[in-house]
Amino acid sequence: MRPGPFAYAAPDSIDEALYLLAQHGDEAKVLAGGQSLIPLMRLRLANPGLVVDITRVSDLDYVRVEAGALRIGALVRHRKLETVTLSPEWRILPIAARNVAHLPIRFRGTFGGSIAHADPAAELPLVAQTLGAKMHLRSRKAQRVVDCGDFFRSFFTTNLRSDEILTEVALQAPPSGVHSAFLEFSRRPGDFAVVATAALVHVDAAGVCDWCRLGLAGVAATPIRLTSLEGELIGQPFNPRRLDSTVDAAMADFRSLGDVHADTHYRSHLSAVLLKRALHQIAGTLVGEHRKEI
Amino acid sequence: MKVRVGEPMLGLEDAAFLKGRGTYLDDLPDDGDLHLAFVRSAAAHATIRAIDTTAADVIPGVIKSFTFQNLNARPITSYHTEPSWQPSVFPALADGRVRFVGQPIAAVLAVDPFIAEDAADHVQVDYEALPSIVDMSAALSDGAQPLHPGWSGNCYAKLRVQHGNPASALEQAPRRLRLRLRTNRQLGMTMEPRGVRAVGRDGTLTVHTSSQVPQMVRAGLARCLGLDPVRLRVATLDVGGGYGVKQQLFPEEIVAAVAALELERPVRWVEDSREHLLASVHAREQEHEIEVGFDDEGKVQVIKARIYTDAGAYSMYPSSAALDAEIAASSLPGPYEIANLEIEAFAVATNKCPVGPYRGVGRPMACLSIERVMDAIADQLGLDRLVVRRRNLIPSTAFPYTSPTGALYDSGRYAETVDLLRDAHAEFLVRRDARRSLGSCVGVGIAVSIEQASFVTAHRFVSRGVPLPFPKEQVRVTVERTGNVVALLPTHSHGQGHHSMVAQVLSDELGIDVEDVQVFFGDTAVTPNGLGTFNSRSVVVSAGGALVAARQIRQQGASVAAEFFGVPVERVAWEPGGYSITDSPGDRVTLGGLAEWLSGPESASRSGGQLSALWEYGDPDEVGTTSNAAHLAMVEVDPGTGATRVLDYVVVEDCGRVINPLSVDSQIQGGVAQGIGGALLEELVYDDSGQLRTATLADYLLPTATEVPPVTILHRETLSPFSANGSKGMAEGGAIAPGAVIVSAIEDALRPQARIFLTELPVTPQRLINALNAAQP
Amino acid sequence: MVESSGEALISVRLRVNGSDHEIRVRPRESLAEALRAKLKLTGTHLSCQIGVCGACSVLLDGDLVRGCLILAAQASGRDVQTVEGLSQDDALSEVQSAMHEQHAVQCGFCTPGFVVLLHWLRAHRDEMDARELGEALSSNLCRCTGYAGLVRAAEALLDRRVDLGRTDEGDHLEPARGGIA
Repeated sequence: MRPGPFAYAAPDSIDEALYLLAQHGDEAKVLAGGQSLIPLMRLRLANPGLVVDITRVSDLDYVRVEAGALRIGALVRHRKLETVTLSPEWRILPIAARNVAHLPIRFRGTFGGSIAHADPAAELPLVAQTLGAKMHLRSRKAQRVVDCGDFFRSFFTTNLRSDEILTEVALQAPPSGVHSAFLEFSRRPGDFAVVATAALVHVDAAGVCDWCRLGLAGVAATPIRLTSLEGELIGQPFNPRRLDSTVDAAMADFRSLGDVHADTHYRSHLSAVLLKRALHQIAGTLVGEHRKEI
Repeated sequence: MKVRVGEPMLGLEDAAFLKGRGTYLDDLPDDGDLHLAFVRSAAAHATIRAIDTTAADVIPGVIKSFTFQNLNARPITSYHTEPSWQPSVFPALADGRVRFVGQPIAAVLAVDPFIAEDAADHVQVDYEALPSIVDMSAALSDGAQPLHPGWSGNCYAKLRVQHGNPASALEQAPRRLRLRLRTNRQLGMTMEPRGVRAVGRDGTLTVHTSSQVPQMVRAGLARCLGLDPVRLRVATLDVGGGYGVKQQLFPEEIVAAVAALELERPVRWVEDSREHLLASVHAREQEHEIEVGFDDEGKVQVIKARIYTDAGAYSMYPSSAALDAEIAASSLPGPYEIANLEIEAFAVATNKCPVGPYRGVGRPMACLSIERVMDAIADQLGLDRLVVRRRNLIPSTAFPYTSPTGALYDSGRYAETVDLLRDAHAEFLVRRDARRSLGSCVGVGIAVSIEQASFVTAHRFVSRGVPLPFPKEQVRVTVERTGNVVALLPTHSHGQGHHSMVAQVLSDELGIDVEDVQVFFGDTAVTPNGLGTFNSRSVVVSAGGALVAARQIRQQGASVAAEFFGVPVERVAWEPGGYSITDSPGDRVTLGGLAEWLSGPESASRSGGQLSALWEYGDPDEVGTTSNAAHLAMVEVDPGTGATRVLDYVVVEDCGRVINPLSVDSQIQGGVAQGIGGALLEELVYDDSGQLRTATLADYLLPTATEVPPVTILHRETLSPFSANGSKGMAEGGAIAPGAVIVSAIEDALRPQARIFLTELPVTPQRLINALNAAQP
Repeated sequence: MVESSGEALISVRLRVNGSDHEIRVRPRESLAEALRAKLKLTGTHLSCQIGVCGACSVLLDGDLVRGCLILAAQASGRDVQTVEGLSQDDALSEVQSAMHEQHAVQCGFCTPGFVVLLHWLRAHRDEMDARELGEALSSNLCRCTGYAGLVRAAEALLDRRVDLGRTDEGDHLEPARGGIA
């Protein structure tokens, strides 16, 4: 379980890193936290000829709000995201980050690395997909912004070209006063999610849901957004008594992918269970806030 | 520090481990070692048309590659006295045919492990696929091709045991029930991987290996190498866990030994975790078909069982492919008195990793079956689960008791063991109900188990073709001139703390400090006459032997002291640590003082003598000891996700004399943890083509601190009349009952909303949701 | 030293347990492998080698990390602490004493990893709530002890209860992790 041979470079600047990628093309692989890439290399499922370690590149380690968007640098470690102070509408991020693997992995793993790795069961790609993230990609010659819906292509497959580095993920702010829940079912703490859900709901003063984002991980080749279920909830009073039937109706035909750990039937079942729980949790916080039965 | 038997004592071994100063196999310095890497079968079943090592051989740093063609070694074989036995031939490197994914095909020797691994990737193997048999029903179906040449059918062994008149008893029983139970494949999964380092010189060989049974490895390895055992030393260092896995001679040890002899350089191989999961030994996979006749009171009158073990592709030395089947069969009645019995057990060959012992060996599956029977009877009659068990337990007056399978149980007060659980059970029910009222899905389960231990002797292995060069095992205890007491043990410690255990026994018996005891084991140059550790035998063999030897030393010492003092032996009095003269307490001599005197010129009559005693273990009719336990668990189930968590756990254990309660309790705790893993998490999954789909520790789920509650442990001490110290082997027991307890508790948790009856381990969330869906109309 | 297989060795400077070292490693050599092979610090053990088990835990610039998932090259210029550096010659450290006294050691193979884990938790106990401490404790595997002694040692060291999700009080147990905001 030792990686195959490779050359190693640890450039100090993003330009230098991009130059190396331009030179080596498919042979090169970007190493950020390494907490997913190194296991793959140890299992010889990834066999790059050149590893470009970008962790010495400065100025990719930031979390800041700018023009209503949250901009997360690619090298922000999960542990930082977990402990950073953010305004209430962003709190789903630290919660999701806390659910990533175990503490020692979170010390090393990076936001950009997780997004670029695109594990369909991973927490941070789920949040990115659910919130409609914009991925900022740079190559030596160009930069582009790709919408998350185009970015996540399939299992461990993204729109990222071999000469590009994901430098930043930008998330558009949910409406102020949003309520969010992140729920994950894993066999043990720290394991990959069997299924995870991210749910964000905003209700107006009359108790009507006027904004909603729902996503699932662990059920398809990429994290998915549940736009039809969102549509069922938006425009309706956010009524806990109706949540179960709304979810059940919307998810009746939902078919998750299955694997050795959990089959299609179980993951589909679990998806509905977690969605209902997440929405009920949100309803619970709404009750606390409005001090009245909705 | 002097410690009495029965007092808690902290581990003498701990400090080195805590400081990172243990020496495990891969910690041996690299002295120009050559490193082995193995090319393993990618196919479950195939003919090998060709192996091409050319591309590997030209890599700089590669010294040599081995295949069946140029490996001068005999295959691994194991025998069994069972008349139905069909042996397999397991070559260290595949001889033109592979029978499981992970089977070694070739090996590359290189100057460092990176190059060895790279080179192994460059070996080309040309497979011609054969139909693979990945489950027992396929293996046993009519027309299935035998996996091994010359075989009839696909069973290594078919065992049969009968007692009383099962057919008529079943016919006449007022009530009957049938169950079909399945335990899926699991493995021991030691934290230290397997590993071996062999050094050859002039036709002699020193092999360090991470093993529980170095003496048996030596016997088997000498046979495979065609080497006189006197030219072969096998020794262990610190060994990072065994649990039965490291109780085999492995192909990798043979290849390392051959390479070291041939090249006269140190050869090292250290397994990785994927190899451990793919190709060490697996265990547990069994299906039981049970039919029971019982009366209206819930008393079992007859049990009929068919036990199928998926024993994998080859039979391992020395344990044999029949082990899981025979132990499950012999222990099926467990702690219950059952008059009529018929068991057929089948060890079935499939295209999967070979099986070996894993903590409990057959007993967890037997316990699951008989405890499910008790639960099913309770359900059918509407009786309390404890009550049904009480009515079937072997009465205390019946010991020594011969079970209908022929096993002899030494002693026990099983009903009292169960009764000791009553208060905790009542408390659990109160807590369960309180949590239920808050909306939680909480349940309580119980199970009773026994553990027949330390009955396996050298004689048994010899009768099964293991070429052991000794008839009995030996414990030697010697008092040195320094006052140190040296104990040589035939068993092996890899976490059990034998040093501490024996030091405590000798401190108690000889009145010496535990720090003055030195303990040696695991090196055939020092302790040749031993079997190693398995079968929960060490407390009987090594602690028992040390006790007897210490008593002999006290007797020897008394007569030596008489000479030393110049008084008749009647006037010599023992006092802790030495002797004095009766009525003259000022005249004293320590054991060390006597030993020094004895070795010097003044002890004219005994010059060169020693205070030393030898104890031997292994009568052909040895029956060992049988401890018993009752387990109680409280679980919480999430009926939405199907997840189960064990909230609390109590064990009542009766293992006779407890030497160190801390050690006993931590063996129980560790066993329960493995049992919880087997009940809820651990499962080796093969797909239809025989590929292992759970070949990393991210897929094969071991319990962590959040899955295992601290176990409350209560003791009874019913001494064994058969062991020298009254103690009974107990270290596997913790792992035997958890599966049975936890399924019972899960059912209880769901009882308010659904009646389910669980029949398969582990109870994964998916299986539980399926069971719930099946239960709902 | 072998320089075959066409791999250029690279030079790595490390501060390990307070002393500076310069070692030459293969680019693919992990920090744990380099500590063991080049610096003879064999207390850092390798078991699963894919970051699951924690036997190779070390502190890197004070952070708790997996030694198998960091290339030695990545650690260049950084400060590393291993179990050897957290030990004294004669006595046991506070962490080691707690583990000894709670009988939290059997075969010893996972033990150094737990020493490092508990050392970090002891130093950072105020940054985490009881549930986070419980989850952190579950990040290392032990196959022998069944964890009870390790949990007791942790609670003694941290001077507080560690929440492993099994309390009788309060809400019913929520096996699905997560949270609301």
